[in-house]
Amino acid sequence: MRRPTLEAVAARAGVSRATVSRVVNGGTTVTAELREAVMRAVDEMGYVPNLAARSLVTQRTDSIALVVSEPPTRVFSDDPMFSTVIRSASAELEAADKQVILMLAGTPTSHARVERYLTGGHVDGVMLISMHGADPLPAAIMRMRVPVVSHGRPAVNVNLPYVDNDNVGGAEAAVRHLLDRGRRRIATIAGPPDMIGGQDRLAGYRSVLQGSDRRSIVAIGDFTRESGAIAMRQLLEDDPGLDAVFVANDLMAIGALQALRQAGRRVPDDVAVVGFDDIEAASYTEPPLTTVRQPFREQAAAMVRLLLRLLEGGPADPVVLPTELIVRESA
Amino acid sequence: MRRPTLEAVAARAGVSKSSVSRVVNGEATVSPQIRDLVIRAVRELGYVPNGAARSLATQRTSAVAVIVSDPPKGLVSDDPMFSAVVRTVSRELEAAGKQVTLMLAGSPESQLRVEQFVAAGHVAGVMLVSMHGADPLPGSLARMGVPMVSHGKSVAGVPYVDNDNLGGATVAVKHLLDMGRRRIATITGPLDMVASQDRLTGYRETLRDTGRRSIVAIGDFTRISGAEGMRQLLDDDPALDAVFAANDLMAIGALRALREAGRRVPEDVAVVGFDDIEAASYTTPPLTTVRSSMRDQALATARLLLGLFEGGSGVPVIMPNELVIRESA
Repeated sequence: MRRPTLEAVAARAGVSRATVSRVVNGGTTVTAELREAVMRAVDEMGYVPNLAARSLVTQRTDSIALVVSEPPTRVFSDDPMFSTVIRSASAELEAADKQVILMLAGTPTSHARVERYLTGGHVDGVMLISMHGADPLPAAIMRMRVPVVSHGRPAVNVNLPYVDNDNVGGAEAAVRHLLDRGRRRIATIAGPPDMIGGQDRLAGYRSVLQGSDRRSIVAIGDFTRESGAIAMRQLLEDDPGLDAVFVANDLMAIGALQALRQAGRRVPDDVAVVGFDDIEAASYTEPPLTTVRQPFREQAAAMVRLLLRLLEGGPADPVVLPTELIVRESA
Repeated sequence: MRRPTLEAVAARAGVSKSSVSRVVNGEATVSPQIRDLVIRAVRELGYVPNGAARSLATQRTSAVAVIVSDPPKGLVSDDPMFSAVVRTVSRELEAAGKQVTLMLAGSPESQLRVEQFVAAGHVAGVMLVSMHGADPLPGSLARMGVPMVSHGKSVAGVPYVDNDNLGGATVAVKHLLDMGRRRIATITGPLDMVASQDRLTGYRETLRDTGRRSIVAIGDFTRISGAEGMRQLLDDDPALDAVFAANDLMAIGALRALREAGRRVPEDVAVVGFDDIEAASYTTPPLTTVRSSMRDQALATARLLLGLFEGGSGVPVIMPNELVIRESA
């Protein structure tokens, strides 16, 4: 099928080529009648303007790369954060009339591909979701001078504009809640040491316990359900007298609930459990999970706003969003 | 800000324009020294080659659009299928040198955007994921003649990879009958999706063959719709003793509704899901379900599209699934 040309639309509508061009490019200097005549011809002929040609003129691609750089351990996890963040960010970008180019960068090969693509002028800007501290990608993207916004404070010391939530404050609120409920031996299941969100949550846990002269009881997980179950079993061996656990994300808390059930401990009677994130599944556990809500959607919206501001040459101050303790039945 | 030109990069690097062009276009016929010089100059000057000019010149693109229908009611969903399919497909296509453009297409505006993007020649191929039957998009894209495959059955003529939804539902309901359950209800997915229709058909036909009547509530594949569907079923038929939920997320919602209604699982009501997502092993009690490998299906769909690029014919693929028996039934 041959596509109808701009000329054909102009002939059908009985107007000049320039008029058709102004209408399809959203120009406002066209009378309502002419606009209507052009749109009718466009509809009748199924005309589609050539975006590649248009972007050649405007020097804008109106595309944004959403780059997700994940450590290999999380490659095949069904982590709901992945889908929530990507869907929220995509919806916000599309609402701003930007096309989303999704790029996964988990291996050195795919890092190289992402770098080539970003320097290739295919996108106006980058939203970066980098999940671990040893990741060389944030620094590489910084050097390219492509406008970029990071989801979460980058673990490496690069000066990327970012949107994060208050991980330290959220963890502090969770542990204080456990202390207020009279819990005295409060353990934690921390995230992987190379992920900064997890480290901030561990710091919040430690600071509250130190302030009340209690010792830390720490096991390390990798943010998956299974690692939460394994860490919980280990904590019960290390300190059978523990009466509460603060878990650095909800997926690990779900694993911890399973391990506690298998060990015959009642939640919250014997052991109180608090998670972090408030993913949808947290309302469906047995018992429903007390957790710290991370504002995923607001975070995505804030990232898009920050990036659009950068594209217009504006300032790029980091944004840190507050978290909120959601009290359900597990603590 | 004016962008630095190709000429400026060549001058800075002390090489010819064509050397710069070869380097930024990733051609291999450049010595490593020259490559280093050019890359350094590109970085120092912040040079950005014009991709649009290039794709206009070569009239070809390595981009593939992965088009995912929005979750119902515009909710942002944490549907694990999205994560598994998008990740698997991206990895497979990128390994084959394709660039993935993710497009969400739920609203009429976003469908129009997708149509324009594809019609403008920005992509070499299209993969549809979980489209609803009433969506006009598959039909209009098919008319553009761009290579296209569907993850799950779509409109006629579009090659697809599906799992055996009908067979899986049949096995699930037979298992409940074999356990001695007699009043078996179902919670369906959205009825404009082929997967939902096929699972419902498997349920209905199995019950009909044993002379039993169907007890149906309609959900939309979310946890909350599973909980609502379960409450409605308990209202409609308080004596039901089993439920087949058309996906695991709805089964998780149903488990909660049963707990809240004081019914024990599986003693009072047996529950079977569909998909075997990771969460199915972590429910209370762990969920009996039909395992359909979303990763294998996604991988096969990506390969079907890559096959079309090589001149393949795009024969539809149906993947088998199996019943995984845990404690809920």
